[in-house]
Amino acid sequence: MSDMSDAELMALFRKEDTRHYAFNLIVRAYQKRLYAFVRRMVTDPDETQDVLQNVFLKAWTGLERFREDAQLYSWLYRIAHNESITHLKRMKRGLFVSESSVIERLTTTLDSSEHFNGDIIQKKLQKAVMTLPTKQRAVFTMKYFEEMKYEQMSTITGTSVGALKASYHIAVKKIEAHLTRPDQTM
Amino acid sequence: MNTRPEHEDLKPLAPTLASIPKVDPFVVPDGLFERFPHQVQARVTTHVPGLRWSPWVKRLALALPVVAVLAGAWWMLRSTDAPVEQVAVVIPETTVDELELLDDPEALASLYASEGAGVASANVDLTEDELAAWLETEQTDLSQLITEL
Repeated sequence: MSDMSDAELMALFRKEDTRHYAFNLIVRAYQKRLYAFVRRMVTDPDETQDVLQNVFLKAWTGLERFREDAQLYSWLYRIAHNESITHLKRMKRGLFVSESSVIERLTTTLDSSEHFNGDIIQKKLQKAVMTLPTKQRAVFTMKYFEEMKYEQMSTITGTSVGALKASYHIAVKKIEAHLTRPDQTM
Repeated sequence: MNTRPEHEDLKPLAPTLASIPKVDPFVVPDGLFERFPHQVQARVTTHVPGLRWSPWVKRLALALPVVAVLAGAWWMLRSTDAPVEQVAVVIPETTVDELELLDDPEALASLYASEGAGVASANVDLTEDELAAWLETEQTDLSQLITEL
């Protein structure tokens, strides 16, 4: 991971001869954190890679217009957030199915994936997260797993802090209800 | 990833969730983060940026169909105010003769004269009883009729 600041990375990016080098450093600096978020949203490892590639491709084309008063990580996270939601919507449209069918598919992916090594309670938590509507799932992931501040979440999602707090509160209650439900199979 | 065993702030609202340790259960495919920057670079170098329209061009592209529809609607409304095109109507010859007759002032005058004469010369033979019955049927006030005559 590069020790350069966002300003230094952007200064390198703006020079024609170091543009690709700078972008490579940016990818290396932020890929792990963005991957974790996209993976929690999309679940499937191959689809996560596709979405993340699209995120960085969009970043490449949009980085020229990036305002340096904003945080580069927040800006990239915003693209990742939008791309994940777009991917899930496209999945729903592609399958011509309801939200519950998409959830079922994601859950099946989780069950069959050799890339999930959580215990029973972790799997149950992930399945509970998947039952949340797409945007609420993003809010829960950002707050619960990433421990992001509401102000930063507001910048990323374009939603007010009050609405985010309410959404998170509802999501937590839904997940708690899911976790304590005795009839749920794991 | 945070591995804090408990989340104090969540305890009152969701005790079960709060008791679950925060770990990342998703396994990243081997060597992904070494390969990934190269995969992105490969896509970036082969990526041909799509045609980017300026916001004004986009607005124009949206506005043009609207203008076209409005112009069409205006033209349709305007054309309904214009004189209606003549429609070919087949008129029977007898009707044409009658119309030509009415177009001639002298013929029209003679027609009125003959009609007037016809009315005047109408011969109505009624007995007193028949006349009284007709007046009764028509509910005619006899005294008013006499006054008018």
